[in-house]
Amino acid sequence: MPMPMPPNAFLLVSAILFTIGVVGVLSRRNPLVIFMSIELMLNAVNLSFMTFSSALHSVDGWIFVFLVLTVAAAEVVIGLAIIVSIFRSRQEIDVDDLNSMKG
Amino acid sequence: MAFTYAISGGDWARIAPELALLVAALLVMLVDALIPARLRGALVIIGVMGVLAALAGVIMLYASSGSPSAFGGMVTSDPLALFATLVILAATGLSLLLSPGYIERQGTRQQGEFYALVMLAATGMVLMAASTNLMMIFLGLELLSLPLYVLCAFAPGQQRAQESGMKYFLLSSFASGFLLYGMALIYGATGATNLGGINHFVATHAMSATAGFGPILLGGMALLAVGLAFKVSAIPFHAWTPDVYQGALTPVTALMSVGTKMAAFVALIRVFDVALAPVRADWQGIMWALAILTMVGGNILAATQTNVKRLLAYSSIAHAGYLLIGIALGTQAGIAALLYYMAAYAVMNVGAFGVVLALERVAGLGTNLDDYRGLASRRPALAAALAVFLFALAGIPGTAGFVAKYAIFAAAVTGGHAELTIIGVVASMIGFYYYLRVIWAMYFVPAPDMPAAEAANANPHLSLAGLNSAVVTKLAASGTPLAFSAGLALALALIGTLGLGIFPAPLISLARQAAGLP
Repeated sequence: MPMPMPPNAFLLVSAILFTIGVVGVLSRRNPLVIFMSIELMLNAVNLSFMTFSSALHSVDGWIFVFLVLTVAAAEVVIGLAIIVSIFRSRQEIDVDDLNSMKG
Repeated sequence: MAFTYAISGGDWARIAPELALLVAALLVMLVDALIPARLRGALVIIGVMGVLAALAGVIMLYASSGSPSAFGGMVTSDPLALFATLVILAATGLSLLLSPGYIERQGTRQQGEFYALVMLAATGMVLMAASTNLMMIFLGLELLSLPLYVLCAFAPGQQRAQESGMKYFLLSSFASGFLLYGMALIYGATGATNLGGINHFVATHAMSATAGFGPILLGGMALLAVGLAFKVSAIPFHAWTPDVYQGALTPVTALMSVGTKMAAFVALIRVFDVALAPVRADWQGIMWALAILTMVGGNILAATQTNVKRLLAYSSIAHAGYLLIGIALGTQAGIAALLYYMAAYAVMNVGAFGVVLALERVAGLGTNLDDYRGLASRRPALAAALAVFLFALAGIPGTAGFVAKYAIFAAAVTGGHAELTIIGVVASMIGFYYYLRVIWAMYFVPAPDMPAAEAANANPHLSLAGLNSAVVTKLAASGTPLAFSAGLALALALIGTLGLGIFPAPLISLARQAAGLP
């Protein structure tokens, strides 16, 4: 019978995913890809919540995951709407070009 | 394990202000679908009624007795939540009154959506201030953020508004990721999402920074602090603020500069100053450094601005620095001073944005410092109002801003952090420079167009073309007339700014009550 993975391994995976997400946000220039990186961060957090929930035998973390998933879905709707409205008026979407305000 | 929990009618009464705002938002959307397009401007009345109903709810809750906690400890209607609700309602009400006339001028056709989103954002702010569970803090934060993303990008076809919405959306979601990770780690370390449970665990377990739950809790606190520092636009997490504030429609800027800050500061108070008070030594340094960086940096950056909306954005960063002193102190006197400061900031800052809005033409034109030259001779009333608001923001005696600054600096001295007072006073001196720069431009620099117009008027043999250009110049100089409701909002903000400065006692006692002081 295989050994169950220890919680620390899940937490490590979660931390690595979160870091990949952060690096993605900071290094990519396409708003869609940046947004995908943010989603990766949120899902990394979900993994942490699940791990803690199992380890602590408490349901709070699971409930939190549902809330995060729901909110993330709502964020997608609004984010894509804003990205589309910019795309319509400019035909290109690179965050480096969003520079009409400075100082 | 059998688990039963019944929601009673009393629970619903505890969130009466949130419910009133939510119902108003839904009513705005419903009525919007039923009335002809030309009447949609009147939808603001439903919004203002919602704010007044929420205000009645706050008064009812102040008068009510019994446990303020509701929904199994998810939300509360304690004096802290009620005080924050009052500030948020003031900002929402004033922003709503400022909107008619202005949003039509910006080419907005969907006024129903605009007012509904404002009400939803206000609901989120009030909910976040009432939350006593990490889950509800997160939900409240998202309920206030999501409508604001849309509102920032609301002006149709305006590049700056789209940019503002996009930047706010991406950076705010990024910060939400940090906030959530912080919440997850705090939950993992303490086994609770409920602030009372977190406090109980932290108070009963000795923490080691290198073993056991200690490192996880420390990481959680740091990430949560980053997430909330972003929301109150503390330096170094402020980069989004000037662009978002400048590009968004001005009533939206006014609402978010006050409402979001108030909600996020209440979350900071509840999480750090109350729940994590037993481990204060571990987080106080972060807040102390954030306060100093934000006060000094915000004021220095504001001094170089040439756009008034942007200048006010940096000034709001600087004020977040003064407010962070209240968090860093961790004393009840500090919290009381922070709350009073926030109330004073609400009236004077919304008032200042209100004058900017009255002078603004389409797509952010007319917000440069140069456009304010000679304003005192063209629009004396508006210039005088803006001067009062800016003097209040600078902290001149006789205004709300002075009492607020005095309270927070005095709390820092009695709390044993005199160095924060010294740095704060020096930073305020820099603040004087840029506030007075605007006042100087309004009162002592002639308007660029005026000599031409005067010369044309002085010449009795005006050609028709000359007369026309003079009329045009004069019209351009006087700008658009102020809508009645916007005038009312400015008058209320002016009364608040001077009233809180001359008779601060009632509100100070309310703030002390909210902070748990006698």
